[in-house]
Amino acid sequence: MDRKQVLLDYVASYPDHQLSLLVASTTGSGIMSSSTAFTVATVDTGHEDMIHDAQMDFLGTKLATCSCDKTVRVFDVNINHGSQTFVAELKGHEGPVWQVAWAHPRYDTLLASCSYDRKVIIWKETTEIKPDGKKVVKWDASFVYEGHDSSVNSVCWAPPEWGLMLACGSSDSSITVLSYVNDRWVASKIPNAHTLGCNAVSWAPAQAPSFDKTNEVQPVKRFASGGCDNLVKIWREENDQWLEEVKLEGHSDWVRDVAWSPAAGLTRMKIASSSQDRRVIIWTNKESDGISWTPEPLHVFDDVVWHVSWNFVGDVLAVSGGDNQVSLWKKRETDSWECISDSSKSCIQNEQRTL
Amino acid sequence: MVMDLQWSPVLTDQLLAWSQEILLYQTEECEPLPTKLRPGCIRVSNRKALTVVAKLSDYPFPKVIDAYPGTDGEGMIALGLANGKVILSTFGTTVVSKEFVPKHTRQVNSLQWNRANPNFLAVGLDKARSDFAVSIWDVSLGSKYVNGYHSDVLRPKIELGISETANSVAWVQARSLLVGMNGKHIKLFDLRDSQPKLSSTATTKAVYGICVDNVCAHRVASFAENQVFVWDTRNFEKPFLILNHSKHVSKLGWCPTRAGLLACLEKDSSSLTLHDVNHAVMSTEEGEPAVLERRLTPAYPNELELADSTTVLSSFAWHPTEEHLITTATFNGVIWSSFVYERLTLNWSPTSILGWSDGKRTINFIDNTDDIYTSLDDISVKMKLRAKNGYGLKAQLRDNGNIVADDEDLKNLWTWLDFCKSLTEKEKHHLPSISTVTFPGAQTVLKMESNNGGGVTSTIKSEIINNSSFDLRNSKTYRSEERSFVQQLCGWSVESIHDLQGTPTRKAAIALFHLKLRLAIKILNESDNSIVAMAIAGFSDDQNSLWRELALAKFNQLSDPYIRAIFAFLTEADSNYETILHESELTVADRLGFACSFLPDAKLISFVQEISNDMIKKGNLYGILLTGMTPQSIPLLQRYLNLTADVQSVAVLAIRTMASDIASSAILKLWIERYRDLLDSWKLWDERAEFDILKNRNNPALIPQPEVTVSCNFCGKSISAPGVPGIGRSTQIFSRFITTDVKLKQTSCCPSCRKPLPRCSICLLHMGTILGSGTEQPVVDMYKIGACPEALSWYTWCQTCRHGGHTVHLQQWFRTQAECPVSGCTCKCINLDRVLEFPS
Repeated sequence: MDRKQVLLDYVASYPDHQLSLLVASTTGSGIMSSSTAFTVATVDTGHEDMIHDAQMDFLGTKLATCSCDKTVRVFDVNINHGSQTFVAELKGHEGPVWQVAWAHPRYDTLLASCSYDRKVIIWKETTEIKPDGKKVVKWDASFVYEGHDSSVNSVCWAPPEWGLMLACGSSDSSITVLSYVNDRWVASKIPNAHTLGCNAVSWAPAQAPSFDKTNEVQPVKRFASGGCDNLVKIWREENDQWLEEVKLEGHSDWVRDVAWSPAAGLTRMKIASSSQDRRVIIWTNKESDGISWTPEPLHVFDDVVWHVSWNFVGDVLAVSGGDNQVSLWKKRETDSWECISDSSKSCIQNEQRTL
Repeated sequence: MVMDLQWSPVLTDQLLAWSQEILLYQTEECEPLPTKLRPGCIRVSNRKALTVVAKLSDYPFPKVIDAYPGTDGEGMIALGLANGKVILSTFGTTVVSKEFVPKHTRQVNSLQWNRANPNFLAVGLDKARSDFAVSIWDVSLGSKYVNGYHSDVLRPKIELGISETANSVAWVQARSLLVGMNGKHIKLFDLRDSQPKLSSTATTKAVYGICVDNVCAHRVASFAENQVFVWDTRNFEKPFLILNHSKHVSKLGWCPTRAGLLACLEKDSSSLTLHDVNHAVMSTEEGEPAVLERRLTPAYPNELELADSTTVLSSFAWHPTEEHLITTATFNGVIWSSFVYERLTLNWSPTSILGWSDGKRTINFIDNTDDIYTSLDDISVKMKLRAKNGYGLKAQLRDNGNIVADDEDLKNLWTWLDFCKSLTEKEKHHLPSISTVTFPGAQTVLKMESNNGGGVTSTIKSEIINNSSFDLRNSKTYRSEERSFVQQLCGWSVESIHDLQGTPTRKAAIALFHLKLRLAIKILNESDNSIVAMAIAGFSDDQNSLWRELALAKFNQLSDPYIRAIFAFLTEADSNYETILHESELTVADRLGFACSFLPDAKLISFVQEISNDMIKKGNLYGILLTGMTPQSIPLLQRYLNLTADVQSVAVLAIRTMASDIASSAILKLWIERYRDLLDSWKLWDERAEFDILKNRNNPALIPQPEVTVSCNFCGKSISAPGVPGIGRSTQIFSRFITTDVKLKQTSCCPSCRKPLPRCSICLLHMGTILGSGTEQPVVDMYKIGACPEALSWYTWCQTCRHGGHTVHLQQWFRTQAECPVSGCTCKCINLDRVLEFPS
């Protein structure tokens, strides 16, 4: 089989952040390679310590980053033109901020952040017009949730169809779903969701999960979570209660991230999970019943796999690993997952990998 | 051989490594592997190499070395020797610049410069009777250290621990010192006063290798045997963490650029263990704190022959400033730099931008304009481009195909839909089965219906024609209105075989399937297939003829599927035509067209069903020929969507060809909603609006009600129209009684309560009054800013202060004023609403 592999060799020492693209196609035993160069847009966030998360909003015009330095920073960005403007630094957390999440723009400009300090803060942007006609953008904490007993590791907004709803996963082993009802934030807690802690939450897209003869299925609110019990769990809302719908066993160490495929309009549900056990598993639900999930191992990496993220249509998966590599995976017609590109700082490791 | 190494804290591109001699290396950029480096150059990573710049051979095998952290030191280092001497020396001169000698000879166990106050050097020594274990020297006292003279012996500034052993020493910020003592305690001394004060003591055997996390100074690590202890100096009684190792530990080091990352080297190990203690929770009840553990094995290149992943490491050193960089040394002298990577965040935005973090400050992005993104073949990028080009919005169905010309299947589908629509328009009066359908497929035309048992039935009746007069042979064909319509849908038409699309062999095959052997031969002859033509010309219907024998044996080897089909047809014995019907290289249209001629009713129906199921399973768009754009096509499109994620095509197909089914199908609604979301996220709002218009065109019920009305200040009723507003108005019988916009303009009072409408704040006339002509000249050409002249007399108001007036008056007012014309209102209306900004 002619397997084409595109490798990205990212050389950190280059000041202009140049990426060289190595195309290595392994046909039989030989490796052919050619190389082209292109640049990566970079944003200097000005954080003083490790960045833990960076999220673009729905329209791709705002970037929020959060860091170990306890702050969240908001930028106006235009990636295509390479411009970025610092807008605000949001201070309120007292520990490293792990993750940020933008609410859908159909609501106000809302940003959720979660931190080691056990808090979840929902920040709101307000625009104030000064007497001289200048617009001043202000960010304030509009709600602080302090119901967790330990570090809150992950926040994720529900699809906008469900209203303003936020899932928060914490090291205290619980998950909270905050929803905005009658101008108030209401918390619904799932105790003991993951023993030793929950590391990631991700919502299922709002869609009719299947079409059958009746052609009309009640939409179901679902989300997936991953935790230190090595499990991925799927939760479903029923009568205002969150029930554990299914428990996916497949990882042998902490689950670090879960990502529900956004899959615009696809009937087949898909979840990617990554783990400390160096593996990424794609879980598919072919029956669209939410219960029978088939695991499909994507790849065993060289190091812990931190994050997985789908593209907007859910056919390419980006994976970031402990070896500082970003690799992109796409399912081919042959039904096998193939690495289509790979970024790393070490060229040698990559070449070894392709063999 | 390398015993130990250290990066210079000041000149951060210099590395010290020592064993029998002390070497100072300079880092430089180098060509990446597999380029060979010049002699004397040692590769330490793909891009970096070391060269020796200085050498100090007077003190073989020093016990400990620490490089001077002050900026004035000219590369000075402090060496602790086995005889207790501490030497301060610089490279480049062989002369000892300074020497500290203890009263009693014993080994130096540990020494460390104070990073915050580089004059202070703490030295920990072995036990000696009635002598101190720790001495702290102030190098700024006395003569200047580089004076070229030896043995400038001074007294230590502070001495601690008489008759004790100092196993290790470590400074905590400027004025505190941690000392591991007698193998039993770690003591924290406060040196702020002239008299040192013991501030706290921890009783532990882990007195070795004390090191302080520079980023988080109350965090301290030490080790003993195979255990690493992590301490919090604020709560020093018991260890914060105990990390067990399988082998004895030989060195510890906190990462200097990031809090809470501890590197740990075991004896006889080829890898480092990294402990991330950041997530450890300071609590007793929650069980074991969570410490992330990772192993780092240097990835030596194959070119480096001296070391591989099993080579035992002798030591390591963090780089003081460069993030993640840790350098390791092996006993056989290989120095190699590795990177310890952080949790790498990664997010793919809805707008097709992939971002990931790079170190502390930087986020990298690639988007769809990058080459690498193109190689992903991300359908969303294609969809965005197609959306911008108006895909699905073109009035002529065929034109939509041109936008997706890069995808032949889609292009053909749009062309076929266009063709199908016009054909159906023409024929719908003759054929009852398609009278209500705009885009029928073979299933609809052939009146196929699923019965309860899962099978398919049809009520078509076909006429059997025996073509006995034909020069080919006896063969039955079938004919009905439905069959010939399906054949037309397939693009088959015997009248204009020469106009058919495709290769000459296809034309020949279709001619033959219309039982026109001579025409087929003629077509083949005219193209460069005369050999084939000749072979066909020798056709013999005799079951045992030599021609038949040879043709049967050979035709499977032909590469052209249509020539294969020709031979298969001519050699067919039992009228099943399995070979042709299942020839996967023939298009679905040609196979279906063939089936419509040669299969009896029952077989035709089951063939259509079979091939439809196959197409649905494959998500093949050519299957639309069978299903038509009817609810039967939804599973096929869903499968296509599952395979390609092309929600755009299915959404635009839905609104263009299945408008009447949208209301009853959740799936269609879902596709449409998802596509609208996509357009919104791409900020293609104009396209989204056009899409909505097309979607609602055939379905007035979907058009939203008017959302804004002007209501009367007094009675609260809408002043625009008492009747049904919106689209229904013109169709109402009593429309002439309803207030139109023209009438409204002449009405200056509320139609319900007859109270006057608000006044213009400039002319003080009531809203709805016709403006006098002549005095109010438009200040700008309204066409330029896209407004119609009538708009000038409309009533407009500020969204903030809700004061207003006639547009033209307000225009004139705000040309020179910034504040609201209503007296007492300080609203800066014009600044708030830049939309009305006048061109200069």
